[in-house]
Amino acid sequence: MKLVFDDQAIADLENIFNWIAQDSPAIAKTVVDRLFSSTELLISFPFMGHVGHDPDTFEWPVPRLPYIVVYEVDQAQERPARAQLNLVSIKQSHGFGNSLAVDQRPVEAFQIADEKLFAGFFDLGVPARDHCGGGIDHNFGFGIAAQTRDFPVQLNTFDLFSVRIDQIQVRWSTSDRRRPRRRWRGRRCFLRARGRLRRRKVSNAPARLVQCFHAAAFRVFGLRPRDR
Amino acid sequence: MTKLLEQALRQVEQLPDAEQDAAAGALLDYVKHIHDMRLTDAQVAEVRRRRADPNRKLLSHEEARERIARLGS
Repeated sequence: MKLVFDDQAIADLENIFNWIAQDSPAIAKTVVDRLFSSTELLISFPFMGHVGHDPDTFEWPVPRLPYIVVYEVDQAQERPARAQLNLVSIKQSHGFGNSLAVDQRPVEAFQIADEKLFAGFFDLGVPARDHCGGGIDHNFGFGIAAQTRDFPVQLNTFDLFSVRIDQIQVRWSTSDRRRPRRRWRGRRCFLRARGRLRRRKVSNAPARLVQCFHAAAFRVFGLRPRDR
Repeated sequence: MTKLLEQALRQVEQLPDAEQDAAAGALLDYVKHIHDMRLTDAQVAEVRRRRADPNRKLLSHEEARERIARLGS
């Protein structure tokens, strides 16, 4: 991953240096170097921060220093032009004790392949909200990750569950960044399944579905312990 | 446990004991202060302002490194 810096972020570092240097230039240099090298970790671990207050940002509190690095990941750069959505993670902040993390199987656009799902007893409805790529509301965070993974759900410390999402409402648009992000130009698609997920046929699908992805409602129809 | 944490722990395992303790200290420190480390409303607003700035200037990694290296010299 390539790292670029906002000019003002570097100015922030210079201000931090100048402030501390009034007492000790050596310590100022150490602190700023440490901040900068911590930021460089993003090259290897771009998602190490938590979802930020501002949509599409991440925040990385630098350990043992009272500073937070705010950054964004340009996921479009990480994918070829015709990349397809690989992974969506859902994290539930509260409601079931531990966080609920769902990693979808490799999906082509929004198709989720052959995962098992069982009796429905809760509904992970999420209010529609405009954001691209990743975001969070009071209960859930969404993220689009770069890798294909398994599909685990962990509701407590001891059990893993396999899950299939029964209904997904997706909005998307092409990833033309010149357009205002709030203007969703895509269509909606509802996926429903009993035996397995089916994808409603959508013609003329945009080439780059990934960047402006928004899941408005996820409904999980039940969970069962995963075979281990 | 996330894959990233697993990866981090695997790397930490390779360190000498003293360094492992230092890494553990950093992690515990992070957990302890996780709720203290929040952006203020003013800072969030500043982040938004910067991101929305049409004249936003971006520096390459190398350019940024050079500017940091010049500090104090």
